[in-house]
Amino acid sequence: MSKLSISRRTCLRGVLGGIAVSVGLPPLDAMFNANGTAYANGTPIPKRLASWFWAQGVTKEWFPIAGNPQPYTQGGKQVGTIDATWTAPSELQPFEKAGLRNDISVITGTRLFGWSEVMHSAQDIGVFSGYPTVNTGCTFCVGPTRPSILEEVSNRWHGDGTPFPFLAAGVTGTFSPTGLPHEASPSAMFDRVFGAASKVGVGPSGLSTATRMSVLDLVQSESATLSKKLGARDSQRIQAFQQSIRDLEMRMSSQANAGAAAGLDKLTRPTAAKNDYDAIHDAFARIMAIAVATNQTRVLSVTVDAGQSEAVYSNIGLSVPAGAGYHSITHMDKSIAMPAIHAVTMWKMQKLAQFIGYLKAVPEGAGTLLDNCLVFASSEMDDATTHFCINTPMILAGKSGGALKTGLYYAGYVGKEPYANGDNDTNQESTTKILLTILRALGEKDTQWGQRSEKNGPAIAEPFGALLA
Amino acid sequence: MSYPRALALIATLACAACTGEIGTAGGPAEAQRPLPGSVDSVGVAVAYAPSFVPRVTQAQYVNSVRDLLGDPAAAIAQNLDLEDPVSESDHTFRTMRATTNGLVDIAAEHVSANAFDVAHAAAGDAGSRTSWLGCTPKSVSDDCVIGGIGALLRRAYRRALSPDEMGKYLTLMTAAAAGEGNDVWKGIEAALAAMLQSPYFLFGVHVGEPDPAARRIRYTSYEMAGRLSLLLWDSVPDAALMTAADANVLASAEGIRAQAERLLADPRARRGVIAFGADFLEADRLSDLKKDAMTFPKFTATLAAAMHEEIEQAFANLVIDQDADYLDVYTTRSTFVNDELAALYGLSPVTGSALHPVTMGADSTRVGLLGSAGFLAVHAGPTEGSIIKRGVFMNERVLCRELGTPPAAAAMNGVESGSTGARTLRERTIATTSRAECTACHGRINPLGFGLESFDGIGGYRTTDNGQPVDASGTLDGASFDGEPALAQAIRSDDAAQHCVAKQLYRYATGHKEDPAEQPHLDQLDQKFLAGGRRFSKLLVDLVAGDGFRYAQPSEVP
Repeated sequence: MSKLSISRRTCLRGVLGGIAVSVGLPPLDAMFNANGTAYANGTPIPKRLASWFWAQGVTKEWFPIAGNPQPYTQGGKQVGTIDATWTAPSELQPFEKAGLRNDISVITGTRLFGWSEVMHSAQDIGVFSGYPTVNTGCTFCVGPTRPSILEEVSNRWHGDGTPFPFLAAGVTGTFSPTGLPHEASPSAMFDRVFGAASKVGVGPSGLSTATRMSVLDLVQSESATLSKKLGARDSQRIQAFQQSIRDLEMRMSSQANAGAAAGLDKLTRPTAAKNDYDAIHDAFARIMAIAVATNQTRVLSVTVDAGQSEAVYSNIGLSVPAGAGYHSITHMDKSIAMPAIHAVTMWKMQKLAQFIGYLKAVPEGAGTLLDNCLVFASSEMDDATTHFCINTPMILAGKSGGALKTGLYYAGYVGKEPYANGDNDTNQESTTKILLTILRALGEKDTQWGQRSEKNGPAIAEPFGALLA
Repeated sequence: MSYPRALALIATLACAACTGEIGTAGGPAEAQRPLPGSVDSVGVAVAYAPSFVPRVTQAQYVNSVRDLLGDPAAAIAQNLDLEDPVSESDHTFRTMRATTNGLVDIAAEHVSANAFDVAHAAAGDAGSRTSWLGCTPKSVSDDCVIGGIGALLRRAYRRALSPDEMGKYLTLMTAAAAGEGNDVWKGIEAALAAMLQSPYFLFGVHVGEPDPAARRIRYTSYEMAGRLSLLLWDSVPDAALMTAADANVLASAEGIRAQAERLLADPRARRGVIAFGADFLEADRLSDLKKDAMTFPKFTATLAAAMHEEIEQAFANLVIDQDADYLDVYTTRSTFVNDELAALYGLSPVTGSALHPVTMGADSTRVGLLGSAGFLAVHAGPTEGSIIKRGVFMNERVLCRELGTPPAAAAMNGVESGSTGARTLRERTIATTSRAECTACHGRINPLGFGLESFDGIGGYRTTDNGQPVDASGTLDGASFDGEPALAQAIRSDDAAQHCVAKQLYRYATGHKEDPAEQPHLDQLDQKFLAGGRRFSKLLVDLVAGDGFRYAQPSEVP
């Protein structure tokens, strides 16, 4: 065992604090090459994608203070500015304080076109999918027409040997614009990923693993037969179910053999009270960091609150009516709403810094786990008191295996107020550029993604080139 | 794994002006227009609901386990929390969400784990296992096991199994029994575990077949058995319904009618009726409803559960036990309360947490289910009631008046006093919805919502709001009322309310919002409903025996 992997394991113990794990999986036991740039057998260190979503925007205290912005041109036209000397206003101070200022890039001045008509849900779904939403048959209801970037990447990477296609955590609720089903309980996620010989499929029945796997084989075979009889949409639902059962069986068999593999010491399973959002986020962030570090999964999604969430942030001590939900607060008189949004945003950015910090605390190869991650953090609107779904606040963190530049501030739209000219302003950039940027940074070959306008726009064919290494 | 999302604009939307194109927004995602040659059985051009493959709901899963394997197994089935993601302002029926809900990743994992647990509880319970199997097994290949498991599978899958399918189960049982110490019950346990996580059990496979008589899809007798039992029992069929399907009896309206009447006469019909009533009033939200504990210290988990049960019992009592005029739902003085509810309602004390029937006095300040605390609490905010939420519900669900999507330009201010000095919720709501672009919708939302102003955020009665007397006067189609009992009477007297019943049930039963081209089905149902004294039981039978439930629009080609 190399020095690198030993120090890494020691460090995982540190990151995980009170969280117990017992896993002995490839990256821990595999040696890295001499330079720490790949595994010893030449396999590149995998890239990982994480999303971190928060709803209802920020205040003006979030947008970076420009230092020395330089024009950034694309196709001979200036589309924005790039600034390496920005400084952090109060709501970005948590990154400064955590020593993460140069691990993130901040992106502003973009929007989704046409989405604002139906506000939150269309917008937050739009941020992650880049494609039009569809009315799902009731007033105010919208759904995605295409997979989110998280679903897409998870699907593309499926079958890469990691037992979990993704891990997804809802801090205050389980709705998420990423479309992935989110878990609300850190303990439950811990059990799924690290539980002693796994709780997966293990009830009190005591049927042997072999019998259980025969049962799951039968279920899969029936699913395969059924999906052939159905139309495209329903066939897809059954295939997704079948895939999930197959994943379950794979985890069952790998964990049946993993009993002897010793990894980290057994410590304690995390518990967090139902509304203790600090403890919940902390536990999820730690579990996810070690799950990624040990190649249990390559895709993470954290949703703090989804668009229009009425989460009650009693942990923060807001000067609002007791029990008031956050979405309602943002619609209250500005004298009440503004300080509350500021306080909640401060808290959220502290949590995001914590999430990124755990990834950075794990050594991997010559650098840290964060170097091989791409963290995409976003909200769906800028100033929550106006509720305008424009000037989308976004952060990218991590180097994605050297494909991303960090420490930068990219501001789209040159000139006027970003939303002065409505939907037809050709100077404004689409938020969807971030999705193509992500795909490129992950090494995917896509040349275009999404649509510029919800109504009928061209596909987005240019990433944020200034952010790509 | 993507699921529909909704926008909670209603909650705080101060100024969601209708555009004037009422009913055009919010239409079905995939409108089903009549295809050339698409006609009903009497030759009228008509469209049908699309066929769909609903995923079972939590209640259907538990009910089915109970009906197939008995109470010990059902007790374990209740541990499953089968997700049905719905956001606060998604006013679709659960049956609509069932057409898109999947079982992916964590949800599939939970179902699988629960299926193994239920199978173990059933096969391991020596007291009850021979009753659902129907005999005492000696080996997995004896007639007892083949026949008993075969009968369960037929009901669970709602169809006949092919010899090949039965062969696979026999192989599984043989290997499982042999691998688990030659224990025949372990073999059976494995079969049950597979049955309970089979896609044929977890999804309603209702795809139909081309109707030789017209350009439309007709559901097979087996599919009709499944559709009937899901709608009327919220569960799997019994053996008699499967026998009827075997004989192809459910291919005719008469055969369906006879079976539907039989199912409705069974106690299990209570579950089906309650499933609709609770979904209609959105009572299921009570289980996760958050209220400000400082404002509403009375609002406990047990009170919320009692509110839910009140709605279920009152609804079932009215439409099943009494077989009453359906519009009594809005005006009945009969309901059910326990100790906490009686205290909230200011009634004579009732002892214990079990609900008892009560009849409200003639001077009662609340009547019907719009006056139930459960309805009022769900359609409210965490600290106070909501004229807008309640008004929107009454327009859309009770009167079938669509409000459409608010325009982009609608200012999104809260229901706050601002600088107007407004103090009551009524005043604040008026102040923030008075601009010209707001009145197209709020001119219809507010006057109805006003009528429930005598009830706070958990449905408690109140006479003052922020120190001012409550004003619960409003109007409906020009008729004035003051207070909830008068509002309920106005709704009952309004033509729109009675014409809305068949439409809502049709949406619930077909799992989608109708296209205008489906109107002939609705018209026929509506006429029968009114002619038959507005009896819900009769409406259900007419619905399931009608073309709108028996046929589907040809759409996706497999």
